[in-house]
Formats: sequence, C-alpha cells, structure tokens
Amino acid sequence: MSVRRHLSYIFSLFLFSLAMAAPTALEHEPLRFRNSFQTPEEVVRYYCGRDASGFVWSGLLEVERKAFTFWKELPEQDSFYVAQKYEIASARMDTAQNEASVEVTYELLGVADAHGTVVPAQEQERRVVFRLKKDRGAWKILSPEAASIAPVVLASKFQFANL
Amino acid sequence: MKAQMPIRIRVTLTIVLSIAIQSSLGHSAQQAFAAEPSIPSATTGETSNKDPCDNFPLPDTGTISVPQVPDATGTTGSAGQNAPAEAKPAEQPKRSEKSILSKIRNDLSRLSRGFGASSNSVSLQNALMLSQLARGNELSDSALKKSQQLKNAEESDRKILDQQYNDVSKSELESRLKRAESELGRMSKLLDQGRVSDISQADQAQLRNTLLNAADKARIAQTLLNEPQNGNPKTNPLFSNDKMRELFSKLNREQDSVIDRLLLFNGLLERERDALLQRLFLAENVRVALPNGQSKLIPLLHNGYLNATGKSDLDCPTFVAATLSPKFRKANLTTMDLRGIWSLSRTGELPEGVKWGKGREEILRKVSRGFEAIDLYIGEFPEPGDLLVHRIPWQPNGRVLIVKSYDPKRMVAQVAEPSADGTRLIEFSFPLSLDPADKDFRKIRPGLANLRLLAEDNGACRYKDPSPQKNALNKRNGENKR
Repeated sequence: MSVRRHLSYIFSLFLFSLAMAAPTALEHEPLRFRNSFQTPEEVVRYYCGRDASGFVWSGLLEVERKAFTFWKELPEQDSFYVAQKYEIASARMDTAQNEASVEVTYELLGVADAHGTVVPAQEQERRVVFRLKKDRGAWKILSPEAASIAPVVLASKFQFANL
Repeated sequence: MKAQMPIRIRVTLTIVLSIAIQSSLGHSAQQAFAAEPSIPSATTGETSNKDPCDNFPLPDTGTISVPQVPDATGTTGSAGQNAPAEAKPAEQPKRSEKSILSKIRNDLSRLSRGFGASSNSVSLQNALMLSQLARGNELSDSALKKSQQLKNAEESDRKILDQQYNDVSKSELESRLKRAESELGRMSKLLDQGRVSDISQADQAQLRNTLLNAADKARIAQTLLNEPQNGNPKTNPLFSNDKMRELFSKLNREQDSVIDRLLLFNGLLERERDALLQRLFLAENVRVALPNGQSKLIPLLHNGYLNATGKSDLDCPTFVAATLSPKFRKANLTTMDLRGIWSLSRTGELPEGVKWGKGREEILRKVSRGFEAIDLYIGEFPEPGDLLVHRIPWQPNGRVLIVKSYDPKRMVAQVAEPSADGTRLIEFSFPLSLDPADKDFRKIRPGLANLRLLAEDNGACRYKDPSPQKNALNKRNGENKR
C-alpha cells in the first residue's frame, strides 16, 4: 500500500514537471466566418471564448461582428477584466419574440491592461446577461451593446494580463 | 479713467495686483477665491481623495475643496488656426511656477471683469481664450490629420500587396494561403514564447492576437477558395467569389486591414517579402528574444503607432491622436496610465492601490513632465485643447476627450473624440456634473482627470511633424531596417 502511494506521488510529480516544462502555447478560440451555431448558448460560448484569449480587447473582426452580433460598432476598450473562470447558464427562451437571454457569471481577479498594470477587483463576481435574437436562422447578440460591454480575459488564456 | 488707461499698463497693474493679493492673503488663489463674497456656493466640487468609491486615494495635494469660480475661463470666440508656438509661454515653467501662472491667469480674468465689459481688458481676456481655443483646435486638427496620413499609408500598403496577387492562379493562391497560415502561426508562437525588444508588452499582446487572427483568416480563405467562382478571373483571385469578397472586403475596418496586410505579405516567398518590406510604410523588423537565449528577426506590419509612447522624438499630433483613440490607447497610454500621469504631475506620486506594470512608472514619469494636471474637483476648469480623461479605476471602460470649450455656469464641456475609423472628430456636450442643473450643490462626476499638454516640446512629445514620406525615405535608406 505504501509503495503504491509512493509511486503515485512520484508519478504526480512527474506529470507536474512535464506540465511545467511544456511550452507556453495557449490554445485560443479560433476565428469563425459563419455562424452555424444552433443555440444561443453556443454563440455566447464562442464570444466568451474569443474574449478569454483577449480577442475582444485586441479587436474583433468585421466578419465576426456581422455573423454573431447586431452591433453597429466593435467594442473598443484599452483595459479589461481578468477572470479566474466563468460559467455560462442555460438560455431563457422567449419564443414569441424570437429572443433569448444567457447569463454569464465571471469570477473576477481584477481590472488590468496589457502593460501588466492591475487594479484588484472591487467585487469577486460579475454577471452579464447577453440578450440574443434570431436573425435568418442564426442567433446573434443584441445586448449588451458594443459601447458598453467590457472585455473579460481569462488569466490562464491571456498571459499578458500578468496576474 | 480706467477705460483710457493703456492696455500694457493695465496688464502690468493687473498682474501686480494679483500677486499682491496672493502674497498679502498668504493663501493659494483658490483659497482667496473662497473668501470672495460674490462667489456663489452653487458649484461645490469634491476632493479626489475624499471619495474612495470613485477615485483613488491620492497623496495630499495641499489643496482644499472650495467653491468653483464661474467665468474664470470662457468659451466665447471663434476658432482660430494659430500655430501651437503662438500659445507658448516664454519659457517652460516648473511645477510651482506653472501653478503661479495659473493663479495669475485666474486672478487676471477675475479682475478684468471689474473693469467693465467694454474695456480693453475684456479684449485681453478674449485674446487669451482665443489663443487657448486655437491651440485646442490645432491639436485636434493635427491629430486628425495624423490619423488620415496613417490611413493613407495603410491604403498605399494594401495596394502594393494587392498588386502581388493580381493574375495569380487558384493553385498558386492556395499555396500562398497555406504558406501564410504556417508563417503567421509560427510567428505567433514566437511571440507567445519570447519577448520582442523595442516594443511594449501591450504591443506584443496586440500583435500576437493579430497574427493568430491572420492565420485563422488564411485557413478560412483556403476553405472558401473552393466555393463557386463568380468574379472576374482577370482580377485579384482573393475576390473570386462572394464569400472571399466578404472576407477580404476593403470596406472592413482597421483591425481587418492590418490582418489582411499580414496575410497577403506572409503568403509571399521570403525573398519577395524582403524586397517588399522596403516599399511598405507600416512595416518593421522586430527582434524576438527567446527563452533559450536565441533571437529571431520577424517582419511585422502594424497600424502606425507601434510603441509610440515614450519615444523621444514622438510628435505631438501623433501623441494626441494615439491618446484619443481607444484603438491605439491599448498599446500606448491607457486611461489608467493617464490617471497615473495626472497624479504624478499633480503630486509627484502614482495613485495608491494599483500594481503598475514592469517599467511603467518610468515611462509615466517621463510623459507626466509634458502635462499640467488640472484638478476639476477643487474648482479648476478645463480649457480648449485639454485632454479630459474619464475612467473609474476598477472598471475597464474609459474614454479620452479633447476639450473644445467649457461653460462653467452650466458645467458642460463641449468635447470631441475620433470616429470609429479615426478620420473625423465627433463633437458632443459632456456634463462635468450629473446633478440636476438647478441643484444648489453640484458635484463633479467621478472618474475625471484633466490633463493640459504643455505648449512646447516636453517629456511626452515634440511639436514637429515628420511626414510619412520622410519616414518612408528614412526607411528606404535603411534606418529602420535590419
């Protein structure tokens, strides 16, 4: 029993060392050209995935704006929230209006910019309700609007947050 | 008697009087104003260090919260086009001298009101206002001109790159797109692993994401290439079908523009890229230092503001343009940085409660020497040409506005910020207080920092404007090349 425990411990150490030695290649949510998502949650998951790697902060593309949102402009903020993780709740459907609401709960660490400047978070949790509308078979983000939405990166996905 | 007095004598008299008032009272100008019975108590400001909900606690500025003085600066007069040099002081004042000058100016304008509306001193005050207004317009116009120059440079670069793809066969285009995807992916990995010298960390972050987007776009384009062709086969094959046209539309905005240029550039062979690099306006070779001690040189196409902040020869229109636009603030001076600059300029110290990025304090200290910090919360007013920063520290949304005029009675500033494409300024009214206009005490809204760029060469920028053509010439001479 003791030998097994020792082996298990050594194996865990080995795995940990491997993980630490691995190159810092950060997976990112790849750019999409077409909105082929079937549900509002999938659209929000795509948006949050892009946001997590800093693509909302660095600038979404026009094809994304048109495919996934009703926005007239793109979000432009020089700073961003840094989150530990986020959770996307199930959509609340309003079938009569062809609309849906999806709430995202972020566990915040702070507010930062890509120079590495950080202000600690005032509140640990941030909730954002995305309202989506179906347009020619595709769910698109209606609100929050581009001017008011704030980028949220994940500390594990965007190394420039420096937390 | 007063009306017949020559203006030069009256100016001297006014200055002497104002200094005498200050020295005899032994207080600051603001404190002197607080004792003035004619000052209404309707516009009490709030000190920035008394409301921790909205602003950072700052070191003691030695000032107190006092009622605001209406009409200390005005907003009348038409826009002039004077050169910034015309608004220059004789010599750059030090911090304390600047404060005295500011107080004298306030006293001067206050005292001049006593001489009657038709007197020459009112003309003098108007001249002062016109000068400030001209400087404000000069700054915003120059910033706009700079943005337009860069847009022209971008279009020129895109045209040069498009030409490389004219009459290219479908198979050759496919091969180029594959090459671009591979090259861009390789470069983004280098940026993930290493540190690019001579550019800021934020520039690197932005470039890394731009490279990833460009690689993804190259991958998407390969799949779209097999869609039915419905374009003119003799034109650029990038526009051979509807979806490709949508993906590579030249109507797409700036972010797409740099991505498309990167994609087109990296689709070419190495020798073609090397030759082309000399012809592009917005391209640099940058060196990436890798963790294993090696370094790699990579060509980067950018938007014209690569590592603009802190450069010793940065011209003021570029500085203002990069500061006004959120697009360019990301990698240069963010709204948080500008709040830091305000604090450094005012108190010599950075705001508390912030962990500043590595090496950031040094840059901010240098840039802060180019500004006079105006404290709206103790009754100082914005003037034309000021940069009005609005940022609640623990919220990432912020903006920077250039002041065109200010109405102290209504507490409303007429401000401007660049349009999304950066080619024009959008003017609008920005109330400095969110309290109702008829309220007795109107507080200044939280999160404001007013910065006045010095009217002569300073720590932030220089009043010279090297044209893109000159830069291009320098580049062709190999100054910016490997």
